[in-house]
Amino acid sequence: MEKSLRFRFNKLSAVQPNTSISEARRRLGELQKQVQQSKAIESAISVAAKDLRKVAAPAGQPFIFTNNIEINEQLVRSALARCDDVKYRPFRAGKAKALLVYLGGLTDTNKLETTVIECLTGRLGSNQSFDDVNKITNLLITTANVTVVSKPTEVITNILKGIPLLLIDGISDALSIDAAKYEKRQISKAENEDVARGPHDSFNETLSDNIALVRRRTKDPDLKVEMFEIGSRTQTSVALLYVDDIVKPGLVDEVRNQLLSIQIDKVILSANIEELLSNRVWNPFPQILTTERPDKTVAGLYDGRISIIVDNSPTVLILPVSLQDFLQSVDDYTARPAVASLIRFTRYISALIAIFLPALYVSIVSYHPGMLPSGLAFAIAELRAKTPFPSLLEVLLMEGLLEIFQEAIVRLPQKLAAAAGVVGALVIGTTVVEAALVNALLVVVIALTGLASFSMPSYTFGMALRFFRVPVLIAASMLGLYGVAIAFIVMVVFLCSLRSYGESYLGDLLDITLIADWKDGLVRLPAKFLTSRPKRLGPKDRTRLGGED
Amino acid sequence: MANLEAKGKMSSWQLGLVVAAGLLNARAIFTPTIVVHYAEQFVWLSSALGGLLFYAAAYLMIRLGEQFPEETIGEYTPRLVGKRFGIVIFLVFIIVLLLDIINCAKALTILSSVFLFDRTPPEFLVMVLLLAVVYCAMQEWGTILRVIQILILVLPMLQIFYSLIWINFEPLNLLPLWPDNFIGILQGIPYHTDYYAGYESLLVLLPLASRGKVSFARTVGWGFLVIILIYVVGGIALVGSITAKTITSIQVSIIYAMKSVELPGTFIERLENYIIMFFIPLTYISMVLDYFVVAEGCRKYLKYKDHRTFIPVFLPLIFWVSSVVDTPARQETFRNFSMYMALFFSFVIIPILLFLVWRKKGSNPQC
Repeated sequence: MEKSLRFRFNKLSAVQPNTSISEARRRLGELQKQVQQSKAIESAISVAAKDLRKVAAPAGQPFIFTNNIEINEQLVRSALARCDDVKYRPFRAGKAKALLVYLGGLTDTNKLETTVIECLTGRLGSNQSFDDVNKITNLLITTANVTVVSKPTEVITNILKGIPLLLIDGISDALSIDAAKYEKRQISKAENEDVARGPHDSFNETLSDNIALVRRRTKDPDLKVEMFEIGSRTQTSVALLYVDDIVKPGLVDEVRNQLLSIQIDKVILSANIEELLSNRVWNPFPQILTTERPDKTVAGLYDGRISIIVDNSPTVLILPVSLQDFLQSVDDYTARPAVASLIRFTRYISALIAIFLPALYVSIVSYHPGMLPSGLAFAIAELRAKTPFPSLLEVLLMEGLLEIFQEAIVRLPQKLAAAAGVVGALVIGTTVVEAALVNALLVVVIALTGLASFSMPSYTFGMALRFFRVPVLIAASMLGLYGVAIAFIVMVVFLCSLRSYGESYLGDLLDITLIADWKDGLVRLPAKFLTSRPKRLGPKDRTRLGGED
Repeated sequence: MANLEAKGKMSSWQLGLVVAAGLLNARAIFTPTIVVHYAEQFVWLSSALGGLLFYAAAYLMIRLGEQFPEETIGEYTPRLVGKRFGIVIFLVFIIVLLLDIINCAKALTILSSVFLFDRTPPEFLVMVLLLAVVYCAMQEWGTILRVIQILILVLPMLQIFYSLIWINFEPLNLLPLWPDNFIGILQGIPYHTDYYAGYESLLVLLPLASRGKVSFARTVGWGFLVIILIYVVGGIALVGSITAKTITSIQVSIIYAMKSVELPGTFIERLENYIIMFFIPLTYISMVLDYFVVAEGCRKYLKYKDHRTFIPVFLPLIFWVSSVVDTPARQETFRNFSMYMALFFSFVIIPILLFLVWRKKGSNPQC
């Protein structure tokens, strides 16, 4: 009895033979074999399909157009499979079948109707046929720009750009018709670079509009525009602008080579290009000037710089640049020179305040109160006696609040931002002091620091100043004025080590060898003295005023 | 990214500026006490004579360097005196510069720890300063040159602040006008090494300068002249404001003189702090220059591609020696040793080398 029980529990396979482990292993082996066979078949099929496709197609092309419109349609459809926004419009052009392929939403269908379909259907008799593609482009289609394209990759890219494709039975070439049209933002006022006096139009997201805004300001045939497609998938159009007889020799080649060497799948923003062109990626200071103002772009071009316009981006890149370029505004050239110089000088002081004022506060309060007049020193001591934190913590607290406040203002919708401003002003200005978290003098210091960083004409440059504030603050908290001095020196060394396409990032600032450029640097002299282009940019033609041209 | 305008050279005038910038540093604050001990109220005359003497040494170095354009002392010395003596002379050159760096660091940190802080260890101040110096010395020459050109701007500010001691100036303190102790004035001259040390860097900097229309001797001479004027006028102001007797009794007479200046009704107090603050960039320039010259000299001597390799090598040594020289007795011994080394190099080795060059040229004009 005991023996049979053990048999029943331990040997189930004896009752049910197909439940044995060996049987399971055998079946699993068969299954694996089948899976492997199916994989081999699949790869063989894909290789065969690839080989079949390659039969007639030249290298680098997925297929080749034939005389048969049905085969051509099939090939285009397979290339644009599962792209439901691509529209196919078959019609008859005389005796022959014709097909328009276009991208819905990016094509002007009315234009297609009037310049292609009506022309081809209305002007040809029902029995008329043609085999010459030139006759179609020259005599029948009335649109301004028609190109004959034979490369399928180009055809596919054109369709995706919004340029429709026309296929006609009996003709092995495809026609790309310029009928692209898409929704775009109108040219409006500059969002981030508003000026008191001067033009108010700014770039939008459309490359052709942006180039037109530059062209409208100059009738110079030496202004060259080179187009590139960057991004293996996005194929984003990028324009390189320069004035051929001014720009420094070698600079255009350098930038062009850099643009061509960019291997990236997508370019969505001009910042993508900006970052790829910068040689010091961890450097917080911007190495390329960005602007949304066409007048600033043109001025840069005539200084001997290069502009890069990226499609779908309203900010244009200007290079090479130096620190002074981030501290200059269009208003400097509309104001009287004496006033403009004073304002410009104030900006330099503001830049120093934006970095060093909190650090100076901490070092003087913590280490060198004797440097203050006795009355002020006692007043500060009295104020500080009410707060529990050391000066560094106080400043860090206020800095943190200021940063949060700034972020909130930037992110919030405009209407809410005003409300947040009121709340922030109350919290930072009054409540924090009343709660005895910080003293009132520190609020003044931090407010002044914030205002100083906001006064920078370039937002990215202002951000860089904010970045350096905390390390300098820590140096001050550890070593007082000695630390501030060392931090200042290290910053000077860092800035001196930066280069923008061979140009020193500090530009002509206090460089005796570039004294000719000082006329439009820390101060701005009257226009009649600005007779030459900046020497530091190495322009071919330095004459700006008083020359033959 | 190609640097389209890599600037590795400097003009003749920039060489003069760089050498002058290298002469002025925090060591100068401690010098009047010793010099006045010998020269009394004629410290200004001693400074002028000392300046001329040290310029003579710099002139000899320029003449020596001009015999070997595009070469530094480490490269041509072995050809003149043989390999073994060449190494010894090159090592003496490096040691003179390293001693200058250590003296500068010590002078600045002593000043800072005494007058700016209460309890901060000087070693910590030295370490921070050295790291900042290393960061700059790691850069290419074009960047260092630019840094010097920017930081030297504190010199006029320093002079403006220092000129405030004229408020306490008493002409009677300078009497008698005619010196009766010429020996004392001459005895004070060697101690001006603290004032003028750093010109030895010429032996490496000359190949980095472009030969223009103006000779190196002239531009460096102008640099020396400016510094001599600063020291001479500064010496007169110092003696005139606090008397020679007071200067000998205190270690940092300049700071004392600044402390005694009062500007009622203004926001500015504790003027000595400002003076120390202005000396930080000036001392920094001297240290960076010396450090770069040491590294560049080693690079050329050992035929390396990049001077950066040698920057970290000397850092622990400089820091260690700076930490060891902590008591006043050690500091004085160390300062005297540095002074004799510098004088030996400038007034013994360099003339011998120049003599050997002239003798060789005389025997073989093609040499």
